[in-house]
Amino acid sequence: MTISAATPNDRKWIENQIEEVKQHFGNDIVKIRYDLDTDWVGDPAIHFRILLPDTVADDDDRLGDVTGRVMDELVEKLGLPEADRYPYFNFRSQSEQAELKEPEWD
Amino acid sequence: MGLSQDLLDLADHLSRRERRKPKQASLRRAISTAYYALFHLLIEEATKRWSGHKDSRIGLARAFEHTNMDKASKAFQKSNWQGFDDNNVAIPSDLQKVALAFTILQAERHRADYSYAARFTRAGVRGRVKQAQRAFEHWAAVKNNPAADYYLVALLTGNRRRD
Repeated sequence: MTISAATPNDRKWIENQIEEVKQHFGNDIVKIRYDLDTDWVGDPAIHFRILLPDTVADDDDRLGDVTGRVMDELVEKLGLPEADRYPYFNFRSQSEQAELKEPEWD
Repeated sequence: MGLSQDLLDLADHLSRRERRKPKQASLRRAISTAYYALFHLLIEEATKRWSGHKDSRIGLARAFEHTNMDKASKAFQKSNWQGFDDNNVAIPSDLQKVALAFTILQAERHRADYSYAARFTRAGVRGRVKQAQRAFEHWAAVKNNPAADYYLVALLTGNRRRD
């Protein structure tokens, strides 16, 4: 299963894989949202928005550890290197989102 | 690794400024600087491999284009690369991660430099700087692998191969 050409069934698979990754991180990740679209040069992309608890975001070592591992796991879980769909990741803390209130992060 | 490491250190510094309320200017410059740190690392590594006159390395360095580097980096995120002469090359995990970091940082740099609507946060930018730092570590681990040489050439050619 790859996500190069996502159908509604594929989306269900994608969401299941993402949920498994999220569960693996326990309280170190609040939520993971994603969009299937294109990147800035028009290639197929998947954009992740990963919300972190303040306890992780405010600890530089934990931030580095969690962000690195979650990127690795999402890439591997979704078979992204081979899928011709390029991953992009954005991170934000709960406090930052509470201030910015951008709906795509909810 | 002079300029590239200095840029990485500067990105780290910019991402930590204004402790309580970071300015968008500082965060945006941190992203852009982190990208250019990795950009210049890879160019430095490529030009070091040129055994011609050292002054000619300047011309070689100037030949790298952001668009070609994006194309090559997308190709090298995969576990195998077709090769310049259809020879299948296994791409080590460390190199895949360098390539992934490059495409992500390049896209973010574009957003940081040109998107008025984008809002950058400390956590997001610190995560990005950390990714650039890890890319340097991954490069150090893989730079003597032959696949790294292929990558550096592909960065220059835009992954063009014999057709």
